[in-house]
Amino acid sequence: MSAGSHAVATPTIEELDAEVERWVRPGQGWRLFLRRFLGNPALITGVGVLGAYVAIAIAAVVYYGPTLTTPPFRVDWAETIPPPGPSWAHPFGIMSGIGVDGFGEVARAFPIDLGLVFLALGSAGSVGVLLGAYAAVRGGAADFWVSFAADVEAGMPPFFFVIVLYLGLELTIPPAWRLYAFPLLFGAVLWPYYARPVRAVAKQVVTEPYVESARAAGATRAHVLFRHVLPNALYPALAQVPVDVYSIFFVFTIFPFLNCSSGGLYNLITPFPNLFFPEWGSLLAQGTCYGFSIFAPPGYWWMYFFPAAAIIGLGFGLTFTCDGIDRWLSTRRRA
Amino acid sequence: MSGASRPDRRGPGGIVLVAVAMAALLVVVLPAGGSGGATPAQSIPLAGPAAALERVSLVYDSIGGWDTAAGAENRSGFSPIGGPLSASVGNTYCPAAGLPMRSGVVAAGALAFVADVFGDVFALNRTELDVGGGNHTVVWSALVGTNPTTPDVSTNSVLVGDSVGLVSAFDIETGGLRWSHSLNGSIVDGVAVVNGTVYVGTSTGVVAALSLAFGTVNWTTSLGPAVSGAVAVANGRVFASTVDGGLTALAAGTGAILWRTSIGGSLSAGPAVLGDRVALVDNATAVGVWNTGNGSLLWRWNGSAASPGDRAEAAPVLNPTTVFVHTHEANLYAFNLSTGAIRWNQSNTFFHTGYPALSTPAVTANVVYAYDATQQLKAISLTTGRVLWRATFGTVSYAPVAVDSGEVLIGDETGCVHVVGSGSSGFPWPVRGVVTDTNGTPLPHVSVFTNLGLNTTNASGGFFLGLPNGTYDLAFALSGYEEIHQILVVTGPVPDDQVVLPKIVVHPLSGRVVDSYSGLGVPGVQLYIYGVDLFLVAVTSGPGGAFEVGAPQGAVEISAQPSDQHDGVVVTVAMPAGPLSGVTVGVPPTGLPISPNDPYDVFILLPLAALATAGGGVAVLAARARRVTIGLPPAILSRFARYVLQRSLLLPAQLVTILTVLYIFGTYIPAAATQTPVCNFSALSCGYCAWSNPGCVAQAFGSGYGLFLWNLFSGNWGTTSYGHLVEPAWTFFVWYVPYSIELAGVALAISAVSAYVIGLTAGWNRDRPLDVGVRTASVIGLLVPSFLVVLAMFSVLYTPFLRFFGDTPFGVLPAPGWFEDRGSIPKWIGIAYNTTPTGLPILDAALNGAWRVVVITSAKTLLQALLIAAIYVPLFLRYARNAVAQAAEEPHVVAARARGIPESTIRWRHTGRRVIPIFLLAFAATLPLYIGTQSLVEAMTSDPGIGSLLLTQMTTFLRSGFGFHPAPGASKPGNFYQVTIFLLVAVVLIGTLASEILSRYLDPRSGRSENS
Repeated sequence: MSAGSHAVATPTIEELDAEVERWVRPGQGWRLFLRRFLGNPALITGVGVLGAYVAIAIAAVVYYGPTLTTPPFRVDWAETIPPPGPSWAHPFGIMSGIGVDGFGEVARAFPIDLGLVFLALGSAGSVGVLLGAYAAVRGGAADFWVSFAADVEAGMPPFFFVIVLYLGLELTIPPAWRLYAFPLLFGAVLWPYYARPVRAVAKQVVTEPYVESARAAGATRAHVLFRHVLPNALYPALAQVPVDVYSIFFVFTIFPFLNCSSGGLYNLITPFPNLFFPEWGSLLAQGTCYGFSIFAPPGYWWMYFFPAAAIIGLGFGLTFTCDGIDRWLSTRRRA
Repeated sequence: MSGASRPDRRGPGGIVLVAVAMAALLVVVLPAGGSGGATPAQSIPLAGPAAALERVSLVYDSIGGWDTAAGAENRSGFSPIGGPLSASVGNTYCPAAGLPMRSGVVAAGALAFVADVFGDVFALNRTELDVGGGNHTVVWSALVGTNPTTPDVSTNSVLVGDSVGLVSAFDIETGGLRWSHSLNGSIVDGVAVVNGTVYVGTSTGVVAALSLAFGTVNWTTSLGPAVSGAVAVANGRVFASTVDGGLTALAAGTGAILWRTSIGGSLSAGPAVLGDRVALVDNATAVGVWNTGNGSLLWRWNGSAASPGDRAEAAPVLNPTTVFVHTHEANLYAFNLSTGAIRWNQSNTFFHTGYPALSTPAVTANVVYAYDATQQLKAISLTTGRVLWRATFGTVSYAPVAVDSGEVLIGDETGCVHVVGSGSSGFPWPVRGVVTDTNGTPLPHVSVFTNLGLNTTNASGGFFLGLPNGTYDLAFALSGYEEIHQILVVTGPVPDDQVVLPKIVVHPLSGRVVDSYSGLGVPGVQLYIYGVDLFLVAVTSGPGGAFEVGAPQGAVEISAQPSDQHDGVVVTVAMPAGPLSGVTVGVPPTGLPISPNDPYDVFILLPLAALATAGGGVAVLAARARRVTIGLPPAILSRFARYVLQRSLLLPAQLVTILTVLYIFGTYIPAAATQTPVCNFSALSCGYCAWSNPGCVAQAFGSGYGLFLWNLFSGNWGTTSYGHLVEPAWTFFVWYVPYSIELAGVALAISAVSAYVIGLTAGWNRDRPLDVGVRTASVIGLLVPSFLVVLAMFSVLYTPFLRFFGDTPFGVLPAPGWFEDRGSIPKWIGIAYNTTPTGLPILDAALNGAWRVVVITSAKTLLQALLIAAIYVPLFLRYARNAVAQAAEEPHVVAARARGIPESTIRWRHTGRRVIPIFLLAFAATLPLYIGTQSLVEAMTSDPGIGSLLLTQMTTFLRSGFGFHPAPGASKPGNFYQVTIFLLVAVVLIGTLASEILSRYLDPRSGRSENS
């Protein structure tokens, strides 16, 4: 074709997308979004719960300020048996053994636990999903090495693997950074659990006709990856989130509990600086150790109920949110 | 206490007069020859106008009516008037329901005193207490500050200290406050009253002496750190320990420091004194005994080496021959007071309730009473360490045990006082006598035992006891003489007794001490030979383990003492009226004579594996050549076979990666972080290079990696310890793996069946109530922390299990106590509760015909398997449920519906078969989570499996060296935990591989028969 001809240039995929957006009248997009959101009760519930958690976390940061991680400790509370139960002065009771107020401790833990969980899941999820989807789209050597690394690492029980990594690096990490290192190591351990299923689904998605069409229309690899493959291959990663919440709190709780209940047979492995550091898993372990008796259940139930409720609430919030997003995306997939 | 202050008591002069007068009046019936020489089991029924006599109360007091465990000023815990001989009588009274009692119960005559943590001090009527209490049990009560000390009632005042620093004195009969004095800090544990002076230690590190009459301060002495436990007073000296491990002796009159020493570790309890010995135990269970006169150390025992991780916060207790130490883990050690040799150890290694044993025991001449983590009061023979009886209360107690005149008293965490035994039923009568040999020569140092305690004869052979009404087995024992028993019925004043002890006729007793594992003779083992509850002689085994002693006819107990490499053991033989030879004393090893460098089977397996690989290669090449010859394409493998091959080739790469990670993070990085000499983890010499030299460090990395792999694959796993055992790591692995295999077999079967049925049913009924319920339960099961699930199930099942089986659900085999109650631990159970011949506990119990053990072990295994399933199945369903729903919509299922095949047939035959490969893949994906779950359950249920062993190893050794020894020149890596993790990961990888291959095989689309 000559340079002076009047042939119509083939639009790029970005131009086609922009054309589709122009078809929607101003304001209609938000109404559609709202309608789909309100028709998704799981997403409403999940976002509501997580929103409440974030609001409490922000309030805790504002209210406690620099003393957020240093709750007041009282020796007489630590040694008081039975500990005072819930009251107006102490709505979650007193946590004997570690000598802190239950409500203050649980409240202070909101920003800390949200940070830990989102750092761990965020790093594992983002790395795993991106690598899995990229390997499927790119194929070849990239696919081989990502699959190989994920298969090798997924063979290690995450429970042991994260402890091996943490204790190996513990001596090289300044104490102040260990709190951040721990969730990042979780990310390093858990990413294969996102990469493997996402890659498997993405391998099917890339063969779908609409992806082929996009490629034929000249879409870049990044466009195919983020616009077409990722949204349709994300759902197995969403199903993985509750399992990883389980894994994270499994490690946070089990070592303090075994250490406390065994009287020192099992040494304490924790990234937290002290026993009354406000973190739900550690609180739950201490509260159960000092407050629960298999001979007279429920014992001093307030010592373990409220930390457990906070963990379960966060898990439910994440589960509902992920289910809701899955439903949202599957609606788009069906469409 | 003065006699005048207690109207119901008389002075000592009255005792003598009354006793002499009544002795002349009494009719004493003795068997023939009774005055010339008693024979065994004589009966001395007494009669006389007992009702006309008043009880001689001061005798009761002077013998030790209030020498309870926590109440005596020397803190020895020793009570010469013994406790009950059975648990047949026991009552509970709760004066302070809900408020824990942490201080000890003390008794003074007819009253017992106890205080709760809130500060209520109660005076209780003991007669009422003996029958369970009533409206008039509390005679008076008073209030002091929180966390009061054990009261002192050795005078006519009740003295109590508290956490606000007050020392208060109350009238013992009315409870009226006499005075109180405030000191800085808290009063620690107890007050001691001697010669009109009250001695206390405080949390500010001060020892103070107050006037008993007025509460004014006589003197104070500052020791620096906080006082760690109740001060003890004896021989004109005050002994105080401080939390930093210090032990100080002060002059009781002036407070001047006489000497100071230290046990070395931090302290949570105070000292105990008896005679010229003062004992102390630190938090790491180190035990020290010093001379009270000059503070010279007599012996010290390092508990942390014997039982790593165990702690001790209860004070030691002493009787004239033995020191007892009770630890967190409910290990009760008995040491020879003079030498420090362990006489025995009552171990509860496999029992963890979550409650530490903090209660200080009480001891009499021949029995020690301990309240431990099993929530039982145990009466343990001082001689043998065996449990004589148990009384189960089912409540937690951290208070000291108190023994007083036939009773044991203890307060608990629920505010109740438990009483075991029949009590004194009033005040005792004096019992006197003389012991001679057959020639009429008086015998000093003869032990005179009664149901209530011990006395010994003086230089003239005389003895003196105080016995309340009742029937007593009066025993007279002296080494080298026959033990004489008399049945003494006391209903009133008792006439003087005359006892003759004949010399024992002994016969030669010979045999060998052998290693129970190898059968080899063990020289140098010290043997204590006992007659019936009577020490005869000590001897040491010679070359080949041979020994020879003289022993009398009848039951003879040979107690082999623990040595460097062996545990102690007690063997009983029936000695005939003549020589006995060929007795074998098998001592279980604590350090087996197995070289940690033994190559084991790996050297056999490696050549076999190489041979198999080469043979396989030859076979493949031959098959390929044959196919080409007959005109077929050279590919000899089907699509499925190629998949299997490719997938299998991934395994070695995975294993090498894991090994590298374990080496880098387990050995190399920690070594680099601590600048450890390279000789500690590599084959290079110590001074070969510095960490600042990159080239040399790279060389050390390679050399260390090579050594790591060589050690791993040559079986050089080093030695490790678990509890008090120190063995080659391989031995531990062999002992504990079968437990895990047996549990995994049951747990996986239960999990697979339940997950299959639940998953298939829920997926088939997608979005119906059943499915929603399963999904919800699955999410809840995922989010509720696993250990709460374990605790919840145990809280429901613990009591029914205990009632039905007579044993707790902890562990796998029945607990040692269960076996001891039925004789002894059978020989097919080894020193680490490992079983023979197969190592699988249920199977071995069946092979040895122990059917009750089979039932209990199966029940415990089943319970643990159910716990694992309760945690693991929700995880599994998260992966597997959707697969069922997809399978239910596949074309062959739709076609089957169209043909009118019944729903149940479609569900279980068409869909059920289709989902099996998917379920196998889900299992492969969740196998790492399963391994973690089983490890948790093993650890929490005290199952001696590889999971709990690994957790112990990881938490113990990872932090303190992580595979290398930091001390220069120490042995090369002891990398057992790395080995264990590697083997577990290998199991996971092989399991995953097998699951994926099986899944592919079962999938009809896999093309496994493409070329057939």
